[in-house]
Amino acid sequence: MSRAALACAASALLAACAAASGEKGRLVPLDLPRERVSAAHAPRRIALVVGVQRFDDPRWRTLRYPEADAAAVAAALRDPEIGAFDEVEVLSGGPSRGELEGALQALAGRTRDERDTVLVYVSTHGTLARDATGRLRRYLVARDTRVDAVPATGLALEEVEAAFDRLRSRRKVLVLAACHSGDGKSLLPDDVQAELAGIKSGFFPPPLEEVSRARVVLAASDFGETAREDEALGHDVYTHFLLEALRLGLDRNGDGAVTASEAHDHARRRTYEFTGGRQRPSAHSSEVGADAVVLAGRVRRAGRPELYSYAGRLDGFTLRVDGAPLAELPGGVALPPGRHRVQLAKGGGPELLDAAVRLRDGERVDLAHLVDRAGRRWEVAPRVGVLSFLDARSRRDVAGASPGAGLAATLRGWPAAGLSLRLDLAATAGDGRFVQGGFEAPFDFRVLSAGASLPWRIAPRGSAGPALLAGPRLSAVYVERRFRRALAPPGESYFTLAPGLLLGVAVPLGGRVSLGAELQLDWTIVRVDGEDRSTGFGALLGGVGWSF
Amino acid sequence: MRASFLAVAASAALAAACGGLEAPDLSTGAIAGRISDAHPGGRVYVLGRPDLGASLAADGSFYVDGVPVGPAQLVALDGAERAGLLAAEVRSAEVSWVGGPSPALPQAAEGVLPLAGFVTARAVEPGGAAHLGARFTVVGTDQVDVAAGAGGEVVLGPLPPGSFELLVEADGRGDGRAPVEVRSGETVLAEVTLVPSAP
Repeated sequence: MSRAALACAASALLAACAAASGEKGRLVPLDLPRERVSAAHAPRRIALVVGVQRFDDPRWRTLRYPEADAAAVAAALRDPEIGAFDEVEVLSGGPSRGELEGALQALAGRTRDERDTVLVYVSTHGTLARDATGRLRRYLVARDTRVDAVPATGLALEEVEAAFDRLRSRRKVLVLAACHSGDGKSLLPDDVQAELAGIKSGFFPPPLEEVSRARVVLAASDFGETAREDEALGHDVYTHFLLEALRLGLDRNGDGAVTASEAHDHARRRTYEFTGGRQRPSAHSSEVGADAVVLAGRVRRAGRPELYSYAGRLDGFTLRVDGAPLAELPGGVALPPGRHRVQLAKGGGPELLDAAVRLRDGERVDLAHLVDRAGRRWEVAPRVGVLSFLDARSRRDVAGASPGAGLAATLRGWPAAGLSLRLDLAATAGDGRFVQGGFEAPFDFRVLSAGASLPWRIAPRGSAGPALLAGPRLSAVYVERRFRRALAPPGESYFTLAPGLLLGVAVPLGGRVSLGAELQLDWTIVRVDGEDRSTGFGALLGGVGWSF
Repeated sequence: MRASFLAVAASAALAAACGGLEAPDLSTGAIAGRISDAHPGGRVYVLGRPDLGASLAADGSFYVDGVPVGPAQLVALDGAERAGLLAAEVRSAEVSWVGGPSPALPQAAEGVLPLAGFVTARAVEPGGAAHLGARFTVVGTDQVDVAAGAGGEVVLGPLPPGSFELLVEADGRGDGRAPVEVRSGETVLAEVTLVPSAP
């Protein structure tokens, strides 16, 4: 009996008893077994398992094992000793796109509690195609998907993502045993293949697992790689090892349950080894705190503390704990509780993280958060460079290009991740020659610029590599001009606010030191000889920075 | 949209701005100095620009600004019986110093001006008869449009010693010009014959 029906029955009973007594406001004992009430309100475990093996369009190569994959996954999930899922719906025999969409909608109707665990497993071909707007998107191939009409007949991964996000549950796992590389469990239309042949992989749209709001998305292969089936295993390779983790109860932290990340870490490592490094399953988790997505077993005790990361920017980093290398990221390790020295480095590169962390039983710590939190947030950077007005007239009459010096202080990660608050001060002084109607007069000038900017920090190679800075800047500009003439005003000056831009680059030199250069471009109005001049003021500055 | 954004940004920048950069007038300069033993009523002015002048302070100092850049001569009147020409080189937006105890007084080793000179001017018609209603100007000085007295004569001065041009105008009877040499401590007579103006 569903919870809704049970609730209705209880309400009806209450109403009937109340009516029979003829009195209002009395408490009426209700003979409802406690276990039934508890069961009705207990979180449920629901799975949708899809295997598409054959396709109407003969141009899609028939796959060998999706139905076997689906059956094996469903069996493991149903098994009371393994997954103990309450409901497992299997769509095999070649579901159409409409059937897939319908199944996802029905799934949304069945999950009503945030504590429900939902697993969606899909094993089929993947492909790429341009949609009506010309954007290259990723699709899952249904039975009736046509090679020459993928956008109209395929299932866009973004739709799957959206359906997944609509699920009320906070414990969700999406497992994609498919790929979009054009090889293995994938086929690309000729025009897309021809287009991709001439471009680099950076053109690919960001993988779903990088943008999904779903709690955990597990993919059999990294984006652009091939997901493989294997005759000896009789399954999709990744699926085989994922099932292995569930069946063997590979409970890393000893809490009694196999979580999604524990199962994936095992499947990822074994798939990588089995394929000789040609297939690297990926995962993305937006989860913060304890991993509540249990796929097999039951949490019986607080597990050993774990360190983990599935953040792309930490891929390839080696995790060392107390000096011993324990894991290559992405992945996780379980540790004894207590205080540990945690280090992250890539190859022989500098330590990205070197921190002492105290871990308690049951605690799971995302290394990416640890890096963000432990990262040196402040940087102070002396600067030297050139400051100048940007138009020739102001350079001649007010302040020409001249050497200057300054100081910048940067607070990284504020007001949001990826942003920085940067305060800067720069000054210059020089001299010029003013020309008026055939007469000339020398003058000295001083310019002081104080600004605040919010640059985005774009680090193509991760937080340890060079970074580009770009963002808006608001500055206060003070200009002073003093003629070396007895009849000139003793010191004329002008103060104004100037909106502008900051563009820069920062290159870590190791340790706390980095090398940086910035171009500041401000637009301002300067009142010169009674005339308001619209002009630009620029500064090109560089130097080293020290983080703390 | 873009124009309105720029207008708002410009207004904000202007609203937050203060001050301004004003260049000095580089085409003019100033002359300053001091006349020794000056008396009340003394004054100086630029020869050729009698409107550019200043009264002497009690200590004889003066300051004249707005003087065009280049060589200039000041007519200095001590307020009593002395007058002189002071030479100065006016520099762009600078103050040139003349007079005082040491510099620039041409013939005043003691720092005093020479005695002033005067001109008694008279207009004569082509026939030789004196003209009674003429007006006299010593060009470049403050002796401008001075009307003749009852006898047709006028005394112009005090003037610094030097060479000047005397200009005579007689309404309806023409005008005339004549050079005049002003000598220190003397009154010279200048008689100018009127030239009828063309009909």
